[in-house]
Amino acid sequence: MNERSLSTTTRATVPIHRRATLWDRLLEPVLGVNACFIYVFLYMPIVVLIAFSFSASPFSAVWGGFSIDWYIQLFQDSEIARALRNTLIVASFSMLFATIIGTMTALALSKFQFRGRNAFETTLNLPIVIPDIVQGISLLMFLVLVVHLALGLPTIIIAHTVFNISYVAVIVRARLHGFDRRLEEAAMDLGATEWQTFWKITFPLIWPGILSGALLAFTLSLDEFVVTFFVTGPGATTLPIQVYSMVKRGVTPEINALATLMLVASILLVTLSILLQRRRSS
Amino acid sequence: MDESSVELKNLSKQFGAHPVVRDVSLQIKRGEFFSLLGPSGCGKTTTLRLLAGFDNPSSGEIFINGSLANGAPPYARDVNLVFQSYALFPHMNVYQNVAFGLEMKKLSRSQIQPMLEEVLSLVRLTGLESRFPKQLSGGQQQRVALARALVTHPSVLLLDEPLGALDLKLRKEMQLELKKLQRKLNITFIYVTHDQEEALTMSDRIAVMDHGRVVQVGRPEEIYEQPATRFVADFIGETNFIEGKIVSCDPPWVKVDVQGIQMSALGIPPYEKSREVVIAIRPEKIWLQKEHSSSSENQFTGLIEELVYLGTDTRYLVRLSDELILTVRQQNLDHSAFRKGDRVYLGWPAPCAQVLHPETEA
Ligand SMILES: Nc1ncnc2c1ncn2[C@@H]1O[C@H](COP(=O)(O)OP(=O)(O)O)[C@@H](O)[C@H]1O
Ligand SMILES: [Mg+2]
Repeated sequence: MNERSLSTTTRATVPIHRRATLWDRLLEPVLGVNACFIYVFLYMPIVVLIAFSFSASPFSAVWGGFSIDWYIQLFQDSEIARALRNTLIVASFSMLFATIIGTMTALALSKFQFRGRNAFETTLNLPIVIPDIVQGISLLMFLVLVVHLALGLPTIIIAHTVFNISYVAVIVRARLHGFDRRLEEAAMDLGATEWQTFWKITFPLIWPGILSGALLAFTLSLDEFVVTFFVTGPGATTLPIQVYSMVKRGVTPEINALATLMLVASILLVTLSILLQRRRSS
Repeated sequence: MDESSVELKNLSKQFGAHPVVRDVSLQIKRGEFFSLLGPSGCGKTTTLRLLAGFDNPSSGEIFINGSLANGAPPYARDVNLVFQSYALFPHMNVYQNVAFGLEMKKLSRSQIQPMLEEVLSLVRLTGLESRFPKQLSGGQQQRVALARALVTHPSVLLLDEPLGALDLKLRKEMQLELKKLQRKLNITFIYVTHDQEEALTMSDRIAVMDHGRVVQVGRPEEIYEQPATRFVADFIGETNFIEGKIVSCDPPWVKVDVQGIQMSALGIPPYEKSREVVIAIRPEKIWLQKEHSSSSENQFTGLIEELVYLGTDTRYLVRLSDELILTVRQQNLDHSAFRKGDRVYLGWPAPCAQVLHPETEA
């Protein structure tokens, strides 16, 4: 181990004298250009979108000087306000339910040994890879035909909770991996009940994981489209659905402004979630 | 007779098909320093966990202060455990760690304060109240774990190799401190260790465990002087094992023939004639002389094959016959020590040699 790290540092500091081939000389610029292209493809559209959200022109592909009129119009648009309200309701409730259920699931998985535990854990992670469209159709069928629910905000909340549980459970489980179960035993040994042990020991040590899972759940719910599209009902339009129906009528700078705001919100939430996940227990 | 502090009746625990604790029965007296001694993996920790209530026994009963504890949750047992890994709460400082048990008992801050000061000075941690566990040395962490378990005044303290992670010097110091502490507080200590020396120096009584079974219970000198099985004799200290056949039995003496040499040893009858047995004798119980002694009965001749000088004493390998070599330890009292190749007389007082029970191991 030590020797290896020593040799790498030597290699890094002492120039290697050998004849560079043509390929060697070309490699660096080629890779550089490639990286540039990737960035252009990935981020150019987004940069353009953000730029045009500040354009005064009513045509989304023409620059008409800087303005924040579209943002002002956005905030005055009652349809969008309603969609935003719906989205926040759905995101909040599905985050809450998914966090509670997902955390309890993760705790049970790490605490108890039971038959079929591995199978349970695998199937728990499955919704992460199940195609959204399959999830959408199956939830629609289940909620309407089996449970006989009317489509609307509650069905969207249920659907979002379902797929969010998996994400929360996976993140909390990762946090629990480094958690010493003997700490809980020590607490119970000193007179704490299970409930007290959870709030005094377990929760303070794993809350960054729980919060991180909650934030991710909230973010995923904010811009969920496919599943929502299947289980939405009259009066239950969320922002992504609203954007979709507006785009059908033509892309306006107002949509650019809305998309920019959603992008900013998502980046903030995900960054916070990742920071929390990295945070070590102090 | 006052009731015992802890009593185990035919306690067994298995994980799946793997038996870890097998039919353990023990009575531990109030205020006793009781050790569970055995090699790593023999089921000591599991026994403590059953006592603390973290695991449920597969069968058998646990009595704590005279009442049946089976099924009672850990927080309802008047027993505290000092974990092998200490298990200090990383998000709490020393004060909060130690106060935890008192807070769970719903004591007020003003009640907690004096108790905390007392216990922290007892374990010499005064002044470190606001440190977090990771800011403490191993020895300090150990003392926090001890204080945390002691502060609620449990009637029994369980200690799982509490000194195992400390260096030798600190361990010796802590052994004395723990022993003093136990005397002073008069709390029953159930102390788990795989270190025979630690068990011998600290305990009132020791239970030696092997493969989940208790093979012998007794005071340290009983365990050392009269090991019940070959395992015990081998695990605790150094022992010569001599295999032979019984010639005659005159309770409590047993005469054994070892390759034509007759020896007498202490044994508990019944022993039938010509049965194969093992005699155990400690190296330091054997005397060495240059001249024949007229008084001793258990006396043999031998040849010094090898010797190792150890400072206060010397270890000799003495050959009695083709297949019988004994280890002998002699204190270096004078300079007239023996040399390699010397012909010597050796022997031992008969009560020091012990006929072992046949091993009950399946
Ligand atoms: N929860 C468990 N599940 C399965 N096996 C266990 C468990 N706990 C302990 N064991 C096994 O029981 C045996 C005894 O363990 P332990 O009581 O920790 O021994 P000791 O403390 O004497 O070293 C070991 O072989 C260990 O692998
Ligand atoms: Mg152990």
